[in-house]
Amino acid sequence: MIEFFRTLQFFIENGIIIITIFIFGSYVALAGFSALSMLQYIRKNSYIDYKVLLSSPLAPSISVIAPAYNEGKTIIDNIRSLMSLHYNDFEVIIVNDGSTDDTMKKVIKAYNLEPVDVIYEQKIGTKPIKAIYKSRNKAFNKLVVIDKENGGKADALNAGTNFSQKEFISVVDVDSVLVEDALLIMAKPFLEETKRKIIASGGVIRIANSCKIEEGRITEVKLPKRFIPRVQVLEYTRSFLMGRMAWSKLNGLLLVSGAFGMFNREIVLKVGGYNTNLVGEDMELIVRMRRYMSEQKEKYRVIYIPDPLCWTEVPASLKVLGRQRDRWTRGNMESLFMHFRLFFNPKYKSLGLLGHPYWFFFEWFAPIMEFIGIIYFIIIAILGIPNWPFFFLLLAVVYFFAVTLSHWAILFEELSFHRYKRKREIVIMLFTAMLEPIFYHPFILMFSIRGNFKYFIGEKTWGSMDRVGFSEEEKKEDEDENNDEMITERGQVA
Amino acid sequence: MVLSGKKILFTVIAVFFIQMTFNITRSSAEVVPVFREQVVLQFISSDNILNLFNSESEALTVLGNNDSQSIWQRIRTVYIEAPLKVKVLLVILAYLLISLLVLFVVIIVNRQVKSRRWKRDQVLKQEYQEQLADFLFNDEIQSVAFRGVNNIKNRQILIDELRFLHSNLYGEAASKLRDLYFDMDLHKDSLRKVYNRRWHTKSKGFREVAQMDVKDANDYILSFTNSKNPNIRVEAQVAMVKLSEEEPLAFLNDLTYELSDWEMINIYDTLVYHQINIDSFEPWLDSDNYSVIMFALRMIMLFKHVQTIPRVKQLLFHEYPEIRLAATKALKPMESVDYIPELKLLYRDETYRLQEILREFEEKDKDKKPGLIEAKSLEDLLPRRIRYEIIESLDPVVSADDLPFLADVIRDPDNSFKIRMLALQMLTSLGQEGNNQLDELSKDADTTLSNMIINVKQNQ
Repeated sequence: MIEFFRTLQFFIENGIIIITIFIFGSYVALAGFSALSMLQYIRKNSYIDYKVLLSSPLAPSISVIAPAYNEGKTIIDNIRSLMSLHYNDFEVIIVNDGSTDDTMKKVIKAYNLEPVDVIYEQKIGTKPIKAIYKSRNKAFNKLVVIDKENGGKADALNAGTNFSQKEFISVVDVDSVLVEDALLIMAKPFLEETKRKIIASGGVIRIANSCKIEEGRITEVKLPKRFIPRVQVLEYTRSFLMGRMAWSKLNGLLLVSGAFGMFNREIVLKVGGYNTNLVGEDMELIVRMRRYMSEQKEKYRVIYIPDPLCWTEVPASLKVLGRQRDRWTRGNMESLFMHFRLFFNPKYKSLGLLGHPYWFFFEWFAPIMEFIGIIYFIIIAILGIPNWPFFFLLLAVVYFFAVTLSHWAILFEELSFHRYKRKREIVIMLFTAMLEPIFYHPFILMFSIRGNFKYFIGEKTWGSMDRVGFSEEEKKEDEDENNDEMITERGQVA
Repeated sequence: MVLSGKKILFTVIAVFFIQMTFNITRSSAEVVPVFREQVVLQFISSDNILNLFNSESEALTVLGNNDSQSIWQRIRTVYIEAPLKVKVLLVILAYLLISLLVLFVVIIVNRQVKSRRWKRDQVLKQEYQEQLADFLFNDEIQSVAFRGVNNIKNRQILIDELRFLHSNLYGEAASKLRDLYFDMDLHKDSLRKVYNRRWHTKSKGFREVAQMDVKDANDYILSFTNSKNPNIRVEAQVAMVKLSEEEPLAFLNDLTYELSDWEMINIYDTLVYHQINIDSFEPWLDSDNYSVIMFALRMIMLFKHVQTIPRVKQLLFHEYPEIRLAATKALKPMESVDYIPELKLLYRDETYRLQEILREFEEKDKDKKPGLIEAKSLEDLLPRRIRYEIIESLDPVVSADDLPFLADVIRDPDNSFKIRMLALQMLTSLGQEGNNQLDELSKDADTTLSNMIINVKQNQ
């Protein structure tokens, strides 16, 4: 019996070490790839004049689709911000997803809207459309508002996709702030590729908490004052600048953030649009599109733009952060298990051999492994058998690895887009990186485990946050907690 | 936020576990507990060092019984005697600590340097802008002395300002700026960039010489219009369009790479912006490079080269579907009845192609188990798109003679909603005859078609 436990101990401990080495190694490799990829991107675009797209009749047409649910407080500014994007052939489709507040009333009044009689094909099934509005004012002729019954974010996006007649659809969270040239910058990679079809592109999501926003534009970038959003700045920087850039290069991206992405509309329609029965519809759509392209034996790519194009507010309280993260976990699991056929399937090339297995092991399984490790450690601690000195040595290695990686991410940001201009902010970021493993990561782990648990018991709700943003009650609660800092649901970081 | 007792307890426990868990990788390595037999370092006191060994005698064997050993000697001894696993961890830890320190310093210094440089550049930029404005618009100022232009970085700031102004000015002011650029030998800086080995510097150089009309390196730049690096290629092509006086698009003759949409947009922009007139794009319609044919077709469409209609009509039946699509689009702005029969013929051909694709797909689908993705093949997209573009191109020139054709398009159940709607709208533009046809169609229309007809009539 003792021998059995010794053998078990051996396998558990060595297994954990091996997985850890792989994880550390993968992060270092991804960081390396990202660095090369970003350097190339920055060099390539340092002298580019995006304005050529502004007036060109050859530029592709884009529909910006923004679902809105109970956004009455900010919807007017949000629409104004979207309407003032720099692009020639584009339209803004706001899909009011059965808001129960005064969203529709305010929009109709502010933009002088009237119902129009438009007939178009419902290629993807959605909840019933109540009416379609356009403005009487020609200055707003790019604006279309679809008023429909509540069906969730995915359903709203499908309704917008059905209405769109443009080549590309750009999906945006209505309360995200896009930089004026966002569409120009996003469209360019679609035009450059000749050998492979670009089916989707994602942009970096930056954190707008504490930033100064005037008339739907970021006028001053500031590091969040509160710890939770601030630590997410690091998390997002690491994820976007050090992870996705590399995955883009390796053509293994499985996720385009729901907060801002651009898609080839025809492919979205071919695969049937967003799945309305999932909580992680944004990831699942990309996986499905990629799978579809592979099955059609078409050469394709999903790309990622490192420019800070989209600014958004992130959860400032643990409560909302927890809901967001356990939903992200469930979303990951849905996509990974629904498309398990991809797992190490050479037929799907980088998707099957790299992207899916990586997400499976390092995004889904790693927190579970970590949790098992904790339980295991508790047991041996209770039994009084751990080798404490070795434990502390290992702990120091892991801690400093984490902090070093975050510092590399800060350096990436510094050398590339350096949006945080004040010296003080950089120093704060560096110190935040030191605190993150101690005061932030345990909660993220906990939320992830909770997400796993909820997935296995079959919970498929967004919680009380609805599909985008959060309910007024929560908003109020959070505002009470965090003064002026608002929280919203965002595209996933991984 | 109100924390309940349970939450506080949980938080405390979580923070405690952090001592052994986390982080970033979400890995569990941190909690790896440890093998009894492994040795670990504790450097602080000799007592602790003794703890690392199984027995005092073992420690004495390893360390020697020498109290006079310095702490560094002891560390060294312990390191040498430690198991491989510990050695590896120690090396990693040392590397991490050093790199953390270096990173910290680099980030702070970089920020400091960058801030200072940015401020200085802004001041200089402002100064140069004002001086250039004075130079341009104050007739009394014949020459201008710029501060710090001996420095290469400052000269680059000046070049950028000159380029920016030059791109926004025409006529005398623009040539005055160009003269200044040459007088100050700034063109030599640009040429240096052109001949630089690094592709991104070279590309910048191409931009500068093109903007400032420096023709000294034309032959050299021309050789890059067919470079394998697409970034240099597009810049070289744009530069040649601007700089080549006789044949701005001559490089298309020898282009072996596919022209991307981005390249086409840039070339077109240069042609329009600099009002470069190309008499005919017809020679490139015979190119072996399909992307060049497509470019020529697009230019014919945008510049409305009516004289090329006969040749474009031939391309409607090209083997490559993208070219058929581009040719169809190219005819739309011509608004001529000359091509109506060919377009109708092409419509018929594309219909056959589409039916064949759909039939093949259904055949394949028979044996397929129902999968997660029910979507149809991508192959039908182009024939559908071409058929839509045919109807669009017919729109401006449609007449009562085309009523039967349009009625067939509308009745065809394989046709997309979009194409049928367009055909219905075209009927309404044909006056009474079109309306009569609408009424005729209503008689045997299914629900979808009826709704479409009602909608078209309402919006008439």
